[in-house]
Amino acid sequence: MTNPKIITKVNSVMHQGFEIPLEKLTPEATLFTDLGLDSLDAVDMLVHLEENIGIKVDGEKLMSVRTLQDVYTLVDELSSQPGVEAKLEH
Amino acid sequence: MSGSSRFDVVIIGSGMASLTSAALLSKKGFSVCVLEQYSKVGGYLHCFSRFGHRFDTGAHYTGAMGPGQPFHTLLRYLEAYDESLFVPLDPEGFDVFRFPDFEFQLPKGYEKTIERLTKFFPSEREAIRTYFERVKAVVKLFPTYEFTDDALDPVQLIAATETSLATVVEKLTQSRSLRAILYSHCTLHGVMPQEISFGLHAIMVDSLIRGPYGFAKGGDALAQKMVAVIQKNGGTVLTKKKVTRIETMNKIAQAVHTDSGDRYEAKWIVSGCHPKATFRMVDDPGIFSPAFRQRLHTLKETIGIFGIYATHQAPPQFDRLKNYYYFESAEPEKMLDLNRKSDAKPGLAFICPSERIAKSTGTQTLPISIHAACSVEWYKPWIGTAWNKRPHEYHAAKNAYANQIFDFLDQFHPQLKTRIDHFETSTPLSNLYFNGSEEGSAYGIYHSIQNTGARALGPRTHIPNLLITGQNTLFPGILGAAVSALRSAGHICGIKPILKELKELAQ
Repeated sequence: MTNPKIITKVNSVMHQGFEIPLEKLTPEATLFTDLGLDSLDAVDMLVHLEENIGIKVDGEKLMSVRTLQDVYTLVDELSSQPGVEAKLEH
Repeated sequence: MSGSSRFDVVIIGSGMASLTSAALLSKKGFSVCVLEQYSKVGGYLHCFSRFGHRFDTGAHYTGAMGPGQPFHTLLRYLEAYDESLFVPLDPEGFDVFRFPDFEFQLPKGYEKTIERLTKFFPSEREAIRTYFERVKAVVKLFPTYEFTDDALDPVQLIAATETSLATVVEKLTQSRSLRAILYSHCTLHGVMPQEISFGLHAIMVDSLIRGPYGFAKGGDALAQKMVAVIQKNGGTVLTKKKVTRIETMNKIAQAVHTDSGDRYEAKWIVSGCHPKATFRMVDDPGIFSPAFRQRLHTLKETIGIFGIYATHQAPPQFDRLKNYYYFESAEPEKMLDLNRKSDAKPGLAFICPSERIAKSTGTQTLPISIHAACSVEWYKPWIGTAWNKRPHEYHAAKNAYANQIFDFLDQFHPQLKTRIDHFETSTPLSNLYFNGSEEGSAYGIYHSIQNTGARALGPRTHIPNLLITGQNTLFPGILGAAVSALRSAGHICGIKPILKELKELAQ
């Protein structure tokens, strides 16, 4: 079960960063088909998540991300990194 | 005069990456048009004449230029190689690293380098050999440097680009002096050892150790040779054409517009300008997501460079075929003064003879370029003023810093200033004026791990037929720019057959 704070934060970052309507941001939504991102957007997303949530992601991890749930899971796994907790509150 | 022309590819800027893109695409049958804002082509290849001598501005030396090596092969492939343009630097010691208490001269060739370093640091034999073995191994992962189109392991490549130079070196050796020597070349990309990708640093080191060459007739001569190739291939190269707008329709680039009112229509646009400058020219900013705009906005720039172009009296203290690096400290944490903002005292300097070949035999005056890190912030009041119309205060600020650089160098070359007949100086504002460099930065985007590999900008952009090229997209230097062009142009004409042809040519 993903921490709800993470879901809210990731959704907010996706909404603000890519102007995707909040109702489209469901766990099963695929980044490329449902959310209309492309491979360049995926890199922007990675950097945007890192900037806004304070996580550091290994580039190779991005290769296995397909759905928004995969993003939640990835952020969840990395949320114990220093400083992340504080950013999740804002 | 205004008008409209149509080309397959319009290339913005005429630095090394733009010229390489144009030469490659025109060779492949594309109609190309290069648009340069300044009155001369070349970007960082520019030279200028003062006091009866030629001075290079950005292109001081290069690597991988030995027969069969990547840069040499690429120029041969483009039919732009001319032996008379290059001069091999001193194989016994082409780079001289000087610290307050010791000096190390880097020779050409891996074995000689390992042997010399081992003599210096006998107890570090294993560390030294392992370091250079890792450099040699990691460069093989970069297809556009090693010209391999074999399937690469992306995980291995990502690991190589996301590991820092310091991470590799600190695991290998505790010797602080050895670390200092291995970090000296960070001066050439302007990124701290803790932040530069080991892979990128390794390409720079590998290219220099294998094939260090200077420009026999200055960087200008290489730019001119490239222009001749482009024109022979049917391409067009125009100067004094400053692109001010990239016209788009439905998120596709249609044409570029210049300040003189000309419109150049193209199927593809390749920009050698800084990415921030390139995207500012796009007429519809709505193409870019807020996430991308924020990412671009937060990208840090490398330091600016202050230049002193001087004539040094005979007999010279410098060898024409060597480059000299000076560090105020041999402490790995203190030696690289690259993130400075306010402290006006220089902590490192680079000296490079500008004319690698003497005009005639006998002892004579030697033109040298002296460079030191500086911040554009120091010259902020004069941003936007014309290059040759700046007030007395600007020149006074320049002279003050030039004197501090001479004072810093005094510990290595006592009385250096008294042996200088004439000198002229440049600041990041000169770079801003002549090259449109963002914030006057010397090496463009700060190529930290955060901006490298999967996270690097370009060559593709959010506009499918707009590509970016140059040092900002890969790594700094003439070689980095040329290799980046291979990727950008390769995106248009297909990279795999080119890599195959290059590989065959290299053998």
